[in-house]
Amino acid sequence: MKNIFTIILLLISFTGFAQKAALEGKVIDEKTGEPIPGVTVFLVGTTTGAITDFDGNYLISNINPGTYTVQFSFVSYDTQKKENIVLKQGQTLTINVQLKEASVEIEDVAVKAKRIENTDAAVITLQRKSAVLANGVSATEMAQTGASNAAGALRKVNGVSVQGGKYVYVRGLSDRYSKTVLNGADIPGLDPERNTVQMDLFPTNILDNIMVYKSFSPDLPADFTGGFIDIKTKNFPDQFTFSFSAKIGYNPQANLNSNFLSYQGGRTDFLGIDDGTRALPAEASGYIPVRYENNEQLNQIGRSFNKIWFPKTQMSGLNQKYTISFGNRKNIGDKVLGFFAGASYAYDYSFFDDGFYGRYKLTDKNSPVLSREYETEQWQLGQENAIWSIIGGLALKLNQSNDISLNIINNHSGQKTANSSYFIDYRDNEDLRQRRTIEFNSRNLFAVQLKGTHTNEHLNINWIASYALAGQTEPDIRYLTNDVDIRNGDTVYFVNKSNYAYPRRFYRDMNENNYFGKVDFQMPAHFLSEGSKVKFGLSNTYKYRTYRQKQILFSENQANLYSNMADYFANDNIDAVNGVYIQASEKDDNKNSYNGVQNIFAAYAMFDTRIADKIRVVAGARFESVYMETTDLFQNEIINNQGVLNEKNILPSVNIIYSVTENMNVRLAYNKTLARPSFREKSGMSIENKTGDIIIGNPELKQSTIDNYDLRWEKYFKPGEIVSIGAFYKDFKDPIERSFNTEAINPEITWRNVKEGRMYGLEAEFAKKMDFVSFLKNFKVSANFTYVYSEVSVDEKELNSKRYFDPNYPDKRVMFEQSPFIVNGTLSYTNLKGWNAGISYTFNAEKLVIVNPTGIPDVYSTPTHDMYFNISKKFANNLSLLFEIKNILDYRTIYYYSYNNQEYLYNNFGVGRTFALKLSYKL
Amino acid sequence: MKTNYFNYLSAVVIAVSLFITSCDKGDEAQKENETKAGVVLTDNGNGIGTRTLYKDTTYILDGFVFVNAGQTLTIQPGTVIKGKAGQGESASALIVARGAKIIAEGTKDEPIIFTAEADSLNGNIGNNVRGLWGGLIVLGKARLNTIPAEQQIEGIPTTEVRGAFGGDNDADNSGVIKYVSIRHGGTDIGAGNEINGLSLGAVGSGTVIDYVEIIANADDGIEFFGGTVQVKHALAAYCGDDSFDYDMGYRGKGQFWVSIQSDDSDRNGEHDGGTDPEDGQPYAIPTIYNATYIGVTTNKSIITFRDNAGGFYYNSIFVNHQNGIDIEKLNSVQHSFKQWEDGNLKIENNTFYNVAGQTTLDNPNLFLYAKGEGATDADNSALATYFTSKGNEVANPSISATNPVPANPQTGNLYPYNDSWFDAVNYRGAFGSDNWAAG
Repeated sequence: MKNIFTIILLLISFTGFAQKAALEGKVIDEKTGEPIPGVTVFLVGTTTGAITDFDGNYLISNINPGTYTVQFSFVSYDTQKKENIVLKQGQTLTINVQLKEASVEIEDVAVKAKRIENTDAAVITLQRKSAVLANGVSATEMAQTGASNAAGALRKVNGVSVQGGKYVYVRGLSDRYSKTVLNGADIPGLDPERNTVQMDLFPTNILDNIMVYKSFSPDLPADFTGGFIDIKTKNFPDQFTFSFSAKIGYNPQANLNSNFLSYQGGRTDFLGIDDGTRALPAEASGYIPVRYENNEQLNQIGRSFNKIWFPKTQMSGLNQKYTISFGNRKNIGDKVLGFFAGASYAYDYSFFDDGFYGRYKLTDKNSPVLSREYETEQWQLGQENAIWSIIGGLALKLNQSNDISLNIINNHSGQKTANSSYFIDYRDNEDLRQRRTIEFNSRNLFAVQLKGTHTNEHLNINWIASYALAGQTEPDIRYLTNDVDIRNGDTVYFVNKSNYAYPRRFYRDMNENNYFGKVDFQMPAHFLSEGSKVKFGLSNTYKYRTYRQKQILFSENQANLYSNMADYFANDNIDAVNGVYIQASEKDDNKNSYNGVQNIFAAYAMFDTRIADKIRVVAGARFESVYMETTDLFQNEIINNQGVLNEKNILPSVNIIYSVTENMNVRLAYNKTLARPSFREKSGMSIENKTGDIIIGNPELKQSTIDNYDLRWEKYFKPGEIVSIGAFYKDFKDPIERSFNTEAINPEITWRNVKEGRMYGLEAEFAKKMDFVSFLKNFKVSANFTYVYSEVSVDEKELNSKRYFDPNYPDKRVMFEQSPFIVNGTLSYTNLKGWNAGISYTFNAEKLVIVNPTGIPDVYSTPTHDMYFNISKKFANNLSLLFEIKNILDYRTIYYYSYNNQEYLYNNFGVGRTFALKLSYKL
Repeated sequence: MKTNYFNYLSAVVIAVSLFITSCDKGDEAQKENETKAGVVLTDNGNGIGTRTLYKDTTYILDGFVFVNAGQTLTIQPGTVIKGKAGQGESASALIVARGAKIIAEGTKDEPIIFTAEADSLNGNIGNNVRGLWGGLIVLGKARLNTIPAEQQIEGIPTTEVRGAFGGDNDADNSGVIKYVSIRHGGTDIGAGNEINGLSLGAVGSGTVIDYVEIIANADDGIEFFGGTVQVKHALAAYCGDDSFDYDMGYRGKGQFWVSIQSDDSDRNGEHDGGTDPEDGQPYAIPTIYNATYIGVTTNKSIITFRDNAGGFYYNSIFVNHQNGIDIEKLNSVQHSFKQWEDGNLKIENNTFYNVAGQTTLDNPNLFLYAKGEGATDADNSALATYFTSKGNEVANPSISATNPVPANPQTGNLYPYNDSWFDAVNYRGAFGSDNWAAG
């Protein structure tokens, strides 16, 4: 780490302090006197420029002395030029300007410097001019809402909700239906159980903006239905920038708590990387004999495992996060070289010791109540997260029309979890059982992206080539369940294996290589109409994934009683004949390991034209050809576990934008999109989760096709102000839903294509400054609402079993994990003295979270109310101090069954409020 | 001379498993073993085929080996079949699929033995060693009370169609299993499940099972998954879980069932009515006469009736248990206690001794009681009245795990034998004066 900082400091000293001129000032609205953020300030004839910040301020430093024309431009304002500005060496000149709102529509503003998309006004402008339905969040907004990563930042986007702090749901549709790309290029998701990318891996200090596209257009990949999320990392800056921040957080439940639950790990856990402590012992890496094959060797291998099976309480520290970034640009002859580098590191704790979970069952169809199967007496869980990232970017502007840039990014997260609970098994003599699990999950995403833009008046070419490697390793996951009983006055512990599995250790590894290439061509199409464009392009994605699992069971010949569970694993108890022995099966491991390969080739063509003065039509079609194959490693000639998907689709798209007035659009869209099974879903592998459920893939899964219809009215006011109301309808064919193998004696969760599904939605959004009331002039309110009605066919087998208990059970139900109502609201305050404050609130109505077989009612979550507050003050232009409170309302995750007008708790836990203080320095 | 095998067995097993090998056969089998390499039985999806296994050969089961539908596996008396060690996908088991037949007809002198590969049949493996291989699984077409009416036997992936069982033919015939000993099985098949010694999935009443013993299985001795199969002379000893387990609507008959437990065994009888749904029909109401269940004073209970199980136990003996027989009562409508109220669960004309430390009938609820969220004092007093009025007695038959033949025969006050399938013997328990298990 030390070396990295040294290098960073050296780079800063090399690039930062030449004796040049600078230009600064403030841009305000001529009529209202309000500062205008997002204005491009640009020295004509050069590539030097800047963008105004949230307060309308700009600064261009590092200017070679000389005479310049300075141009100020912004969408919906008249461009203004200040000529014959003389800059002398060492001078900093101030130019304040007032911009006048444009009277006519401005076509693509002639911004020769890189278009800046990192203020909310700029993002709303993007949104307005976008051919498709889009919403975005800018770097400024991220800073303002205090979001520390992309997941937090996305929360305020219309129709977006974030699950578990990681997964993005757009319009309430589960992450199966959203797709995330990085700078327009495909990246692998890191969670093998999910279809999408975890957003908490992207710290906001490396982000420029995030756009969420809600309707398809042929130049986007077709495998999204809810939202297409494009995370854009920072571009090379207009001037030298340097920023540093340090943040500490305190959660009374989790931090500085001597009862925090953790376990003995390795020395590099703080980096989210295992130092080898959790590696499979060398003795166990070869063939593990079965009993009586070589008992001596089997005992030796059994003894070679560490004895760490138990969580322990220990004092926790404070949450902390550090970020650093810097960038600059340099003129090399007539070329411009820009670069950007950033790094971040965070470590935080989360803990509860008052959690509850219970399981219930409907035992007969006439029963007025559910019967209790088991309930916890005490459930505690401690989790530590290490997240860090490094990003580097290099951009070369060869001339006015050719840009090439290179991005390298590495994100890492490590999660260490200790879990402990006591529960009473009411099905079996009210036995008291104890369950302890310790886990470590380390995920890494590395990506290199090379892209270029080549423009002239006839043709615009954008291309990108990227390689990404995602890895997840879960070394030495340990699950231990045992009974606790009193025998002859003594407390005894034993493994009652007829009721649950033997103690086990798992070693899991996943790697996914992702190669992506894309080229887009755009050219004027005057033959259609003035200002028309045609766009066409090609792309190809190739992915290769390997997933490996190894399981070691610590079985026992017969259930012995122990005065302490540690004795179970003691060396002298490891005895293949009468004691504990390990069991491993290569066949099982192979069955639970798979390879997956996927290639998607796509080609598209579209046009963007005005068929009438005010009617813009963006239409076209995309062709996608997918080949996907999953194979588990279990070479079983009897059962075909190979999943193949080989499809070709043509996906039409029509987006019509009717510009009622300059600032008002009505949009209408029809698109066809796809949803494909993930590798994990399509592989035949089965995996057992920590509560003993078996989750098994389905190699027969097909892709789903979706017809999407969208209608939206939107009105734009001053920069950053918008009102929109929209409606949508989606028609799913063969949607993939979670289901059950009803023939399995022990419940097996799987996925199946069901017949059809439908979604109807309404959404509204507004953002408004409160300047029409004088004492509220520094406030801004923004809010969005999404209402969704969904229904999906119930799998036929599942329906048969449901109808035994309830003959009227409908053949359709709400979509899995689909929230019917989402509200996001933010009230923010900004004044010119450097004060910023904001309070934001997210509401998610109850949703179906667990589908149960037969007579067990499905499980719903209670609504969530997530409120966040922050306040910050800038000092001396460089320093700022921020205070925030997360989860002000202290909401808890509560899932429940509902039967016969009575609710039964499935689980209930909360992670409490977090307070944090952040100091940032920005040059 | 006695075989080495017996020298290593504890006296406990000697008494009860004498029938499994007669004097010379063990030696013979050993000789064959030395002179003739074992024949490995595997399955490439076509099943084992219609074939005979001969007693002069030792067979090694490698993996799941099916007798496919339409095939008949005949096993000569005296044949030894050994399962390879391994768990999960590597487990070895013989599976008689739906529509297939097994004719495993041993004799008193020449039983058929299923054991672990490591077992040299000379006592090298202690009688408490469990879980070395899988077990014997028989699947049939009789009815289940599940939804759907066809299920997949545990441990076999749902994609393997030969693992399916259940149908609509209660008279289905899966063949003959007679004088068969199954030892040291019950390996782990994933998610904490083990293979039972003898799993009977929807096996129909046309099947003959008589004189079968399960020794040291890691899971249950015999588990019935629905069906109507009738089992006479069955011994389950030293199993890790329950001795006799039923679920999914078992409606067969049983007579002369013997359960002998070790310290860590679960219940002698675990009787579930249904799982998905619990109140599925037909209800589980088997009839069992002349059981002898010998417990250990640390086990959970003699029998648990739950998940809407019914069933009849007559003329049986239950000794040395920590707890008596419990009947589940929930706050729902249909449960095992309701089955008792409806006359579908009967515990009558049985002898108990040293159950919950009781040697008298002063506390009938220590022998038979209601349990669960819905159980009330009134339920228990109803059960107490029932228990004392239906011919149940507390008396010492003077039996033990080492000698299950009563020194003090219980011959009075018998429940009548209403069905010709049952041998109308004049005693309670599985043994009269003759130890058929030692035969």
